[in-house]
Amino acid sequence: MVGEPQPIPVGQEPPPMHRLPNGNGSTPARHRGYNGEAKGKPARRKGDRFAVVNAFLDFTAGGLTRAAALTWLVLWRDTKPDGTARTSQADLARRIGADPSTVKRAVAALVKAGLLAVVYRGSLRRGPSAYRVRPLTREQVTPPRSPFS
Amino acid sequence: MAHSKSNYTAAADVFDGWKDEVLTGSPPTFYPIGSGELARIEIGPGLVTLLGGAPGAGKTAFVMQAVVDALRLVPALRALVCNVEMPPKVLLDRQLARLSGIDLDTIRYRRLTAEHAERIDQAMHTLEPLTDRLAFVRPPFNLENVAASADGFRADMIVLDYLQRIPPPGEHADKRVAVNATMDYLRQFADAGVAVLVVAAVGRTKDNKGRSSYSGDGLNLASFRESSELEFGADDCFIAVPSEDGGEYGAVAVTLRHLKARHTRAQDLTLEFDGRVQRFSEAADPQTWNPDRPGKPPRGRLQSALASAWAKTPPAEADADQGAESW
Repeated sequence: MVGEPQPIPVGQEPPPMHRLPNGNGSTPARHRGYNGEAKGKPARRKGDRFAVVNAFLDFTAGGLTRAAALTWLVLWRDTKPDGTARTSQADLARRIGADPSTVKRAVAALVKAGLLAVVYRGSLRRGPSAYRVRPLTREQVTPPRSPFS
Repeated sequence: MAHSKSNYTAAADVFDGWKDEVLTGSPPTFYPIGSGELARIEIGPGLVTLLGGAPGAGKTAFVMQAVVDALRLVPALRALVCNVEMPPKVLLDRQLARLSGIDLDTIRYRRLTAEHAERIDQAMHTLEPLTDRLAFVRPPFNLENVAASADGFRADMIVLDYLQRIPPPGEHADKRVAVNATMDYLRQFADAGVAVLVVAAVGRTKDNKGRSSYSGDGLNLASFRESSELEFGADDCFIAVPSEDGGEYGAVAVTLRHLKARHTRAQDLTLEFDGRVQRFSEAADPQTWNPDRPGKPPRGRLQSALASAWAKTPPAEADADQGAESW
């Protein structure tokens, strides 16, 4: 599926964060080699990005509530090049014109359907959650099992 | 007087199967645990591999890396881990640190923030598919329970960490006899077709100044605690010896001294161990290993000159960072 992280091949684990040039463990803004030399601009994968929204609008959006579809679209809009979106539920509610409680239900429904993965769980102290959007539901991705298999 | 029942295998019975294996060129099965230096370590069905080392040398980190990477590289492999000192969640914390490159402390104290999200997500996606093929022995930690668990889980690889704390069945006069018996059983496990990876504690020995210590100078085959049977029963014996000086980032060079190789030529391995992320990786040329820049292969004269020329060249305007918001 587009945007789904792949398992890391053996020997290609990322370098330790404490050894990165910025030293604070954050993901560097630009792709860098091991020794900190800039390796040019990161590749922008706009094609993937449009494939995600196209698949969502063509196959998935019609079966969702208005709040769930709009929540998904706002999170897709806010997705950064690292594949995650950090938007607070209050902000989502303001932008789609709904109550925070409606947004909360919409997020839960999207997670349950496999359209949203919570990659970092936020809180009052930890800030907003981080999400990864997926265009297709679990049922759409996993074909029904044959009764003969 | 009771006569003991004869128990032998005639060479004629073994010969046909052996001949087929030789003539069809079927090599023995090995479970790879990495590339480069790590690929030289033979772990596979029928083999008992023993790893010793002083406390804190990275023995558990090494065997858990070996198991997880073997599971990543061999899709059908199933492994059973018996660790008497650490519960499964702690062992998984360490693997998460290794695969994500995030400090173990940050993971252990659950101080993850949004900047870790992408690495955690990818590491979880790496670990999760392995979970059906990896199991941990629950107490009691004894060999009967290990054997029953290995049968139940259909394990191809068994890890015992560590041997001196896992008693064999029956009563034994002392610790030494018990360890002898444990090794006998492990040999039988291997003969039944599983790979056995064993961590063993070592005793202090006299260093070159006559002091009692875990110094690498004094560690040898006789250092395995309790019994010489360990060295006889194992196919390969390694002792992990960390270097005394660490680098700026806490990484140290660790030599795996290959003290016994039943089937190959013993050859020491030089690795780099970064304790903060619990990761062993291939070290650069040990002669020129620099603890502050571990893992970086030494450059030739021309490569270094070229690199320094690039370093002196300012980046072009177009290479300047652009906001991540501008999709």
